[in-house]
Amino acid sequence: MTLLEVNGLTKHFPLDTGFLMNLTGRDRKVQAVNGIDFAVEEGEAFTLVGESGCGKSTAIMSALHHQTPTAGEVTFKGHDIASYSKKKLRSEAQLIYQDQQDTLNPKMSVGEAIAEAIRFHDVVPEERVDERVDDLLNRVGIAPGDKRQKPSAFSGGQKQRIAIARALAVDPSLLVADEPVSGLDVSVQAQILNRLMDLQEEFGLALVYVTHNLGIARKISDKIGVMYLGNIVEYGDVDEIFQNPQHPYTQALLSANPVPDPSIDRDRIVLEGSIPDPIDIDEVGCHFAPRCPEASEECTTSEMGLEPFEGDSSHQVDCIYR
Amino acid sequence: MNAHGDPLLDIDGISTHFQTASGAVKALDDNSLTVHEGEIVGIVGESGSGKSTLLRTIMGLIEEPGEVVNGSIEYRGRDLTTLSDEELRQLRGNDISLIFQEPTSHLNPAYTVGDQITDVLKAHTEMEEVERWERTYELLDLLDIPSPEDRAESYPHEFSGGMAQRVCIAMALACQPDLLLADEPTSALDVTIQAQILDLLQELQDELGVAIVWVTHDMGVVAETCDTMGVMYAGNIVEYGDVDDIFAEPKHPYTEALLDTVPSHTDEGDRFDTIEGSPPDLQNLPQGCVFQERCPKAMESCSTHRPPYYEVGGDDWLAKCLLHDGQPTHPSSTSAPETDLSIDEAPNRDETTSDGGTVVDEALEGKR
Repeated sequence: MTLLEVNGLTKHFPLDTGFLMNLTGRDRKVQAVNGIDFAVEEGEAFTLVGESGCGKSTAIMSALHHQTPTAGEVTFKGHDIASYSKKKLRSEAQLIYQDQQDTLNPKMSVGEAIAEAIRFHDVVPEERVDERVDDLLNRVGIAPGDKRQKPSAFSGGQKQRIAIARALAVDPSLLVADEPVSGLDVSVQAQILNRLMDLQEEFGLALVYVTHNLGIARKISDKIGVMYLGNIVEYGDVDEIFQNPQHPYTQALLSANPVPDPSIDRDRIVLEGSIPDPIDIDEVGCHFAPRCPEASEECTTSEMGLEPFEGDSSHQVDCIYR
Repeated sequence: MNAHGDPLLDIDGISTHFQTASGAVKALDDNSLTVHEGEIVGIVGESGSGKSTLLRTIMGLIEEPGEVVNGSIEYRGRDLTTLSDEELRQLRGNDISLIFQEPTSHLNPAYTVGDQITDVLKAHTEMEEVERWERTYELLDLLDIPSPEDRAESYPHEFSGGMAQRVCIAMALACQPDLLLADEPTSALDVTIQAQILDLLQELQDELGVAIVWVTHDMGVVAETCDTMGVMYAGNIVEYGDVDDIFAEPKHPYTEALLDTVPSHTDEGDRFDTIEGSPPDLQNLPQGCVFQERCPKAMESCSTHRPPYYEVGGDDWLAKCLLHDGQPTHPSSTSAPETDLSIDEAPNRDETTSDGGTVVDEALEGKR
């Protein structure tokens, strides 16, 4: 069953507001997300990948109405997401971020932080709260005996485990993880991601993962969406896309990503220039065209959208040449 | 053995310690490494393993309470650890220069990049002003920065991250150094921009023949860019040798484990390989090998004997691991074991548990 379905999601941030806008008469916008579609099935792991500024975090934040989208429809469990109360939505969809320093209260012991979430959402009766806190800490690999410690007593990797425990405390059906291990060393990353995948299965969770790390995206996801300048340019089954990338941007991104194996001799596709600012970009045409090695005149004028590649809806590409 | 030139930088048994009220933090402990002319050497390791301290030690930038307590760093026959501040200052910029991870934080926001590059030339060369500006345009052009004469008039904030890093590289190359020390120069950049810089550095290296010591945590970058590599763990370069050789057949158990943990987008499968446990406290290093507590191949002797550098494939492939006892030890080793050890001692622990099973092991992760 489809848990989260997103259609035509758009998020623009006004750049010239109030007084300045009146003064200059300008009305520029940062077009962070420009009409994207994706769906996440129950228990599925979906990853949004892309470089910094491509809109991957904004996309998921506006899908979950942490930021009000400019346009688009989002349904969660078949109902319009706007019809959910804030509290109800938080108990269904939980978030973990890159920097747990910012989300764990430094004055509260980690046990209290988790218990607070359980009590707020009435997950279990009061007499079973302690038991649930211990169980959750155990599951993420933190000794329950340490629950009286403040966050400062834990390492970065352990804080991330605690954040996962707190997110799971309310028994959500969706976990959104925005670059949760980017600040950590690879050996610690590996421990946390394995644990996260185990928990996803145990709890029957759907996972939306946001990352720029293609190695992680490949292992953790069932399905991916590759974002460039506010659009999903390629979407579908993860192994299919990594083995057979079709969009010129996906191809360049994969080829630019260094492979830790010197015996493989690869030719990098090196793109010219850098990602432009997403300010007042053309509504028509392909946003990647200015940097695309295959672009033609037609690319700047044609209407685009994700289309099944060779009739296969598990692999969709937004490029007129495919 | 080495395809490159003569030894340029010869680090021999170097130890850098930081004295604190609660004892010495051994940030670098008995490390040896040789950089040849025109060679790209990758230094990899996790955070806190001593990669950046190594670069700072080479540059003579260790400040109180840090101190180089042992060893020598020979650059073209001169021991850098004995030079005066003034001599070091002359060397930096002229012969050895440095680039950093965050280009914008190493450029002065109040001056144009042209001013900053010409300043370097003014400090280190006899060039006249006109020559200095010509050289600056030349450098910006070399780094593929479009319309150099206009861009020289720009301030750092007018450059993107990738472009600012090019400016820093231009500045580092201004006096044609023989050795470039690069501290995670592409880690803050997106992969498509990183690809541009990697290509550029390789071209420059071919063209100018500058040797590069490249600190990174990205095994992919090492595999694609470097000739030789050193793997650091808890203040030790535990293995050093040719990149192809080490990736094909790592001789130190840590190198092997580290290579396994790196997720590659070309790998199928949906589990991540892990190294259980966490690095030791640098203030309280165990007796014997620094990796023993996490090592799947640890033996009885590992807890009592600090391994020296063994030559595990000629004299330019070294590993600090008692598994190779019986191989010749490298002359630079200051810590040869006092007694002969036999290799076939029984391992003192079972196979490490696979991940996902026990909680206790993983709970050790991270320093408390």
